[in-house]
Amino acid sequence: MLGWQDLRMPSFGGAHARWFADALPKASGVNPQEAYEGPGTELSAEGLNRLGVDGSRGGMGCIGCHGWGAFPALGENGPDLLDVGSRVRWPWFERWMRDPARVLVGTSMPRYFGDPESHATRTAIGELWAAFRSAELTSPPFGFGAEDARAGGESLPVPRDRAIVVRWDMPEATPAAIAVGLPGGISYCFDAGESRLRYAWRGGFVDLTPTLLTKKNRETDLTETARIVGDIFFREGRYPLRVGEEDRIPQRRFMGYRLVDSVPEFHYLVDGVSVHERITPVADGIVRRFRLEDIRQPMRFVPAAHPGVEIRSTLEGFEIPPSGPVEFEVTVVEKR
Amino acid sequence: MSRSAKTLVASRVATAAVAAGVLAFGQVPSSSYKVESIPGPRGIAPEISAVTFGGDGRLYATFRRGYIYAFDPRSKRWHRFAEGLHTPLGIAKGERPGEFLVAQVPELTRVADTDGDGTADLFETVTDDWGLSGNYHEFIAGPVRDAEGNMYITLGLASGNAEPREPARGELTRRPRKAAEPVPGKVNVIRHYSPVRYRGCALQIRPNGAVRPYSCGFRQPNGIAISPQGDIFVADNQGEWVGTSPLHHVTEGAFHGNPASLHWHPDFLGTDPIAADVAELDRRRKRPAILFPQGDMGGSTAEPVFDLSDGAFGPYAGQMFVAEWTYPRVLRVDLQEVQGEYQGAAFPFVDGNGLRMANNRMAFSPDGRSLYVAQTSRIWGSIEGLQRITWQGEVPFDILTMRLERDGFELTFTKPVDGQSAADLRNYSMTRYYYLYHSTYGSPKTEVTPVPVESALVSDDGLRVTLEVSDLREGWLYDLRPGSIQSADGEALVTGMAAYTLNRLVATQP
Repeated sequence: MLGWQDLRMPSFGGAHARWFADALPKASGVNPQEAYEGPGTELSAEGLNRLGVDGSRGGMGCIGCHGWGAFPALGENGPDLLDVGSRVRWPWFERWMRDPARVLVGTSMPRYFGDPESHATRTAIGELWAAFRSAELTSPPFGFGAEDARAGGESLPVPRDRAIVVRWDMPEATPAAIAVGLPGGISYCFDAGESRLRYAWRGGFVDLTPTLLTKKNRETDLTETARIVGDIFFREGRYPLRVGEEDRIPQRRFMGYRLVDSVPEFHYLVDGVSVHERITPVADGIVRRFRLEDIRQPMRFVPAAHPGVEIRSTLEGFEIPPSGPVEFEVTVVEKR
Repeated sequence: MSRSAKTLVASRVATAAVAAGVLAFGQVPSSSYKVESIPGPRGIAPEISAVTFGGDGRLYATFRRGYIYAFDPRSKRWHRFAEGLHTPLGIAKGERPGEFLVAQVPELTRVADTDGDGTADLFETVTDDWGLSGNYHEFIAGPVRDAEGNMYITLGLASGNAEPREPARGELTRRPRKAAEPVPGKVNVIRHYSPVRYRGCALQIRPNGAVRPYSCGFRQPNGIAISPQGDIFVADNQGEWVGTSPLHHVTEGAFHGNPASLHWHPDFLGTDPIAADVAELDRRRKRPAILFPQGDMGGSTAEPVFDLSDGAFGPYAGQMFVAEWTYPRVLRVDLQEVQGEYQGAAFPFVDGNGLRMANNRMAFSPDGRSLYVAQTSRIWGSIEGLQRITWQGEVPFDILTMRLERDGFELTFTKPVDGQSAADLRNYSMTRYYYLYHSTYGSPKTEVTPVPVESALVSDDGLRVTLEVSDLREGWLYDLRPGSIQSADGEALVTGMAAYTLNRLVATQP
């Protein structure tokens, strides 16, 4: 609306206004005699869940495209949903939800319901309406904040009696990262994109919510990663095994992993040498068990220089015997 | 409401629906195909991203949060088979019992239960020989396997809305996505882009593990199928350089039209896509075998599957069904080989009837009677889960095929037609149009032109109608809107639309 227009709007008088007020809903295909209120306007948890992004609670992902008052939409920018209950009428809302394009030509609002007459459709639309009618009184729909995530649920997995493998976008790693949470509060990130341990942390495991709710971070223009819950105590800057030459990082190829007592044993090739590596917890840190086959040249383990940790090995002077299959351990513990 | 107001509203609703392109152009009735929802495992987000049947008769479903669950259709029980996968978007039965090939975003993986305890313990990398830039749009589809044991997957482009997140896997090309000074006739701007190896290509994986780009030029190829004869088809999504959602016939060395992946194609290695010549690309590109008119049929087409049920799924045996993501639809395709290339007709199949949207992958049950549909959307907004479409035994009165002939089209029907209505030319409204090949997102139907149907000849058995059309041109889509054609028993035709993609005319006999 142009700034000067409100100054020029004439007063047409009450009689005209009444006609106009009746005509507007008619133009939208609404009979003014129809009930405004619709069914079940009491506060509805089901409806709020439907607005959210958690599919296990019936979430339809509405907030992906629509904001909720102070909370901006997660992805696109559709109309705000907070005031829907006071802005539109029930009969219109019901028609709209059943088939939006029949109401508004060319709308990008999806048609959610394959069977508009079914009981399930009527229930869902009724629950949404109830959520809108009570919107000002309730918390925002699930998906706007990590505080909604249930610890131990899908978004905040917690290793209890066994290790948990989560393959997800992780910080400080290629998109082929593998996060492993071990019982007892130690976790680590193995990067299958470079066949190497990246870092290990202490505390909780991972929080997936940042990646579930957005396509990208609006400030950085980057796709989000999972969040580490806890503190990193060890980073391995360079891959530690050397084949032949002391100062050359060997070529690696990821071959996969096998779960042994729920903990992965990674398999990769290092300049053609077959390497298995399995990482389990010890007091104050991790132990890495290596198994090497097809060794043809002298090899060596070069421990990372990392403040605050001590690295020990069953290898003598970190030298790897030049023949046969070799097994050894490298222990990384925090100095206390 | 007055009568004139009613008429006005009715006509506005009809116009709105037609203009928005979401009016169901017919569909098979639920008395022929029933749609049922299958509740997922308790307490798990039902982001079901792919499905296949195992040798044990159970349905193996991947979930976007990285699980594979086995579903027993008899007991309706779910059992967690595997976890720890990164956005799995494809699953195929492996060679041994308890073994599956899973396309997850970073790799193609053999997931196997080797100790027979009912859960997977081996996650063997078949190949990860392509790049990842950390962009949310780098999806994957497949695998399918040919008779020689080669496997094929497709890789989506990175979204132009997000930047590469380092460290990437593989080298980043770091090419500008926009020409500093646009040159008329050149590509000039790339939106969805290919910053790492092979994004936007179909890959072939040989039995010895060797990987190569097999064809390039896709945008978001979200579904791949192989025919019993070994022909590979990939569904792509409308967007820049893709006027409407297409189905591509994938052949070695093909370039399918989106220039973003050009620099990975063996014939264009190292070419800067933004400097490529549009007219040359237009000549070089392999046109889609099938176009699904945007809105009328397709929005974002996903996995195609061939009906190999031999009739257990009804009258469409041998044809193809294509999942549709934006609308609550499954589409149907009848392919025709003309001058050595595939083209053919697309039809609506299920539209609504209880079907949800976000249809991503599909699998036939072992008995062929049911088509299981996996639905996932994450934050694009939808209701997710698992549904199945089951044949009820009642043949719908439908157009079975629309085939190009030298002098027009031949329609075949699932049941004999009523001779009078089927011979009435007013019941064959046809237009032709095309979609623009350009950098803009999508394309309007262009040069929509009425096509006169000169005669309609009904066969003696009533199963075929030959439409004489002299205005046949290569490179156009022929859009048929049949009117009130009835079956011999007085049933109304279920389909309201048939769209024939005419790339090549039938050769005239010398």
